[in-house]
Amino acid sequence: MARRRSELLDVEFLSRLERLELNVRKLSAGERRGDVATRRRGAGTVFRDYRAYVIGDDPRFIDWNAYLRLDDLQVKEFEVEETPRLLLLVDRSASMGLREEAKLDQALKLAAAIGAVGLIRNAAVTCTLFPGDEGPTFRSRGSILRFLEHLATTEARGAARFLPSFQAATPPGRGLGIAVVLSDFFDTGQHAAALRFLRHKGYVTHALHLVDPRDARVRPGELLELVDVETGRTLRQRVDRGLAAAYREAVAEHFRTVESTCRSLQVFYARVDIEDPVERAVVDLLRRGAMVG
Amino acid sequence: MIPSLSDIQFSDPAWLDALWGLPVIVALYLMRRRTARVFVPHLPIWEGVLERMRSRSRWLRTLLSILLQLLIFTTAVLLLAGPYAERDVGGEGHTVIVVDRSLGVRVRGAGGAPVSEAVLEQARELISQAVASGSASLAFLQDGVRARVTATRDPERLFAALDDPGAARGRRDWDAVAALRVAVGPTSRIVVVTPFAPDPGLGEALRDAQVLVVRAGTPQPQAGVVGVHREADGVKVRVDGSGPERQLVLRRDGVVLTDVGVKPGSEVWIRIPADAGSAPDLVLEPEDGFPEDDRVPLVLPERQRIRVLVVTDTPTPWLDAWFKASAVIDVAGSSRTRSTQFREWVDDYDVTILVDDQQELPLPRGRYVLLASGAPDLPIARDVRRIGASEPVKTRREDPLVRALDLSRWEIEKVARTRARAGLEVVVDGSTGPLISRGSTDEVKFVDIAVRPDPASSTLPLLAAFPLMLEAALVELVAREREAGPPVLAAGGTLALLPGEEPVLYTPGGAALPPLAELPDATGYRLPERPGRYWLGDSDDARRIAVALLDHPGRPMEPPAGAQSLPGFPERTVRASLRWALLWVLAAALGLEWWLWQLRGTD
Repeated sequence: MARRRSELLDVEFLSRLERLELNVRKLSAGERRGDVATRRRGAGTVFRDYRAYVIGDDPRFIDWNAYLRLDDLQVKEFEVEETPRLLLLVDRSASMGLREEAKLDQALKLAAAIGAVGLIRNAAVTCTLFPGDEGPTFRSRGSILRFLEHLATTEARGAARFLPSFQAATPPGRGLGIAVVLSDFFDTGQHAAALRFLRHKGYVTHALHLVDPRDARVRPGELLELVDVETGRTLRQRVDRGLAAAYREAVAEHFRTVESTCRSLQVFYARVDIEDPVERAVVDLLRRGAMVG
Repeated sequence: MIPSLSDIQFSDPAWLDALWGLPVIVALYLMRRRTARVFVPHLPIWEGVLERMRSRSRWLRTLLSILLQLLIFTTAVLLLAGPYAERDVGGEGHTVIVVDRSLGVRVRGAGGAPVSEAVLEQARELISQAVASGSASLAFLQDGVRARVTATRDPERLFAALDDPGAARGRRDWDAVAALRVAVGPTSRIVVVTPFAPDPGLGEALRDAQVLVVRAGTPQPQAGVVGVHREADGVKVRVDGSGPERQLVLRRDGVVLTDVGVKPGSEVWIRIPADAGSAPDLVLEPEDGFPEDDRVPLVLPERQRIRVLVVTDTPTPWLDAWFKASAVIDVAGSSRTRSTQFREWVDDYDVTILVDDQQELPLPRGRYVLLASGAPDLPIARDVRRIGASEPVKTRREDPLVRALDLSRWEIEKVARTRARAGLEVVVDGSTGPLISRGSTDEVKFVDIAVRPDPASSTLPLLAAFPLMLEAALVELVAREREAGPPVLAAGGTLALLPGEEPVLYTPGGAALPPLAELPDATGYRLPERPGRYWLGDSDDARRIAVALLDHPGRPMEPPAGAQSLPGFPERTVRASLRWALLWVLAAALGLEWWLWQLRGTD
C-alpha cells in the first residue's frame, strides 16, 4: 500500500521534533566524529578531567604545566565527540497488515518520527523493515526525505523472522547505539532471542509494542475458519462466548509475556495503541524512553 | 431394451408427491449457516486456547464415552433378548345401539316434552361410551330394527343420524330385537334405548349379557282408544291404559253431540245421534300424555234422502214449501194422502207425517211426525176440545230438535191441551202440556209437535228454525242403513282390498297417497301411520275408511330404572414390544459416541 511521505511525518511535527535533543549517552560511537559529545573518553576536543599518567599513555596529552607545578605527571582526558547510531527495526510482517495495515501505519509513523529526530541530531539511522530488508543507513538531516521515502514504499508481507532479520540489520562487531524495535510481537517466542541478540550487541534496545485492540476481539456464536495471516494455516472452529473470552485472555497474556520478556532483558518496553495520536505517542515514547534530553 | 419415458407407469403414484422435497433440499442448502473466514494475526494463540479448553473437558468426555459404551453394550444385549411389557387394557367390541323410535316415544314425559327427546339424549350418551370401547352401529326400533349407521368409530356420524331421526312411528318390535341378538356375533352387544319395558314374553330372552335395555324418560300415565266396534245405532269403544276416568265425547265439527265417562281398561257403548253426520270424531277428554290415541275418526254411511208420506185432509202450504226446499226429503219419492187411506202406504215411505189428524185406531208400524195429531196407544194424549193459547215453559236446549229454535219468538195462539204419558220424552214443555216431544212404542217411533204448521195457530212456520226442526225430526226417526259401515282400522295395520279396489288411498281433499305396501305374506296392505279418513279410490262411491291409533305400542309402561352405563368389554392383555424404544436409545448412544469420537480426532 503506497503512502505519501507527508502521511508519515508532516512539516509542523518535524519542526517540533527538531527541538528535541537526542540523548547522546545512549548513542554509540559511530564511524566519524559528530556533533554529539559522549562520555567516552578519547581524542576529542572537549576537556574532561585529569588523571595520573600510566605507562602507555600518549605523551602528547601530558600536561606539562601541571608537572612543573605539582611535580607529577598528569594526563589530560578529553571527551570523544561521536556520531550517534540509531537502529530502527520495523516489523512489516503480514500480521502488521491486518485491517488495512493499521498497525504498520502506526509503526511507520513512529519510526519516521524517531528516525527524523535521529537524523536531525546527525545520528546514523539504519532503518530495517523486516522481513526482507537489511536496511539502508541515513546519516544527515538532508537524508530525511530519502528516509521517509524508504518507509513509505514498504508494505506488509510475509512472516516475521526476528532474529535473522536483526542479525542481518546490525553491522558486525559490537555496536553501541539505540535499537528501536516496532512490532506487534505476534510470534512464538522468537522475539526474545532477537532482543537478547540486540542487547548482546550492546544496543540500548527499545521495544515499541504496536497493539490493535481488534486483534483480541471475535464475535461469538459463529462457525469460523480462522486463517493465520502470516502462515496461511487454517482452523475451523465454532466460537462460543467462553472461547471468545478465553481468546481475549490469551492475547492479553501474550502481551504480558512480551512485556515481561523485555523487562527481563532490560529492554525498554512501551505499548502503543494504534488509535493513539502519533505525535503524542512519539513524544511520550521519546521522553519515557529517555531518548531525548 | 430401455423403455421410453412415456412407457413408464407407477403402481403407487401418490409417492410422486414426495418430489416436492427437492426444492426443500435446495432451500435448506441456501439457508444453511456458512463458515465465516477470519484472518487472525497469530493462529498459535487460538490453538493454545483450544488446547487448554479441550484438556479441561477431555476427562469428562472420556467418562461420558465409557458410560455410552456401557449403555450401547447393554442396549444391544437387551435388544437381542427381545424385551416386551404386558399390560391389561379395556376390552373392545362392537356395540349395536337400538334407539326406540316407535310411535310410543311420542308420549310426553313428566316435564311435558316427548320422551323421545330423553331417548335420543340417552342414546348420545351411550354412543360416547360405546365408541370409547370399539365400533358402534345405530339402528332404530321402528316396525322392526332399521339400520341407520353401520359400524364406525366416528361418533359424529352416529350423532348426525340422531340429529335427524325422522318422525317416531311404527311398532316397537321386540321380536326383531331378539332376532338381532341371534344375528350379531359373540363379540357384539346390543343396547336398546327405550322408555318402555320389553314385552313380558321376551324379558327372559333379552336378559342376556349381550342385550342391555336402557330405559330413558319417564312417560306420563296415559290411556287411549284401542278398539272401536261399529253397531247400528252406536259404537262400542274399548279404552286401555292407565290413569283416571275420562270422558269419551262424540264431536261433529267441534260440537259435542254426546259424551260418556269411561275408565281405562273398560269398554263403553255410545249412541250415534242422528245429526252426527258421516264423519264425527270420538275424543277422549281431557288430553293426556299421548293425545294421538285419544282421537278416533269415524266414517258413517251417507244417509239416503227420505221418502215422506204426508197425511192430511187440509191444504198445507207451509209444509209444501218446506218439502221443496228440504235437502233431506226425496220429493219425487214422497207423496200425499188422506187420513183414511194412509195405512196401506206407510211401509213404502220412510216417515209418515200426520197433519191435524186424530186417528181413532193405533198407528201402523212405522215412524211418524205428528203435527197437531194423535192416535191411541201413544204415550201422549191430546184433548182437541180444549184449544187455546200456550207458551213454552221448559225446554232441553241441547236437543237437536230445538237447538236452532228461538222459543221467545214462538207465539202460540191455538193448541190443543196435551198430556204426557209414561215413555214420552218431552223436549219443549208448554203451559198447556208438551209442545215438542218424542216417544216410541214397540211398533211406532214418533216425534210430536203439538201445533199445526199454520201461522194462524202459531208463529212456528214463520221461524227460520222450523225447517231445521222438521229435518232433525226426520233424520232422527229414519234409521241408518242396517249395515254398520266400515270399521275403524288401526294405523299401520292391515287393509284387505275388495275386488276392484286399488291399493291407493286418497285424502278427503282428493290427494292420492303413495301406494300402500303389500305385506310380505300377501294378506293385505299396510295402512299409513297417520290417523284420518281415507277414500279407497277417487270416485264418489269409493269406499271410505277411518284410520286411528288403536292398540299402539307403548302400553303398558313401567317406571324407568334411570340412566345406565354400558358395562365394559372383558379386559385383554396387550404385549408391547420395547424393541423400538431400545433401538432409539441405541441409535442415540451411537450418535453421541460418534460425536465424541469426532471431537477426539480434533484434539
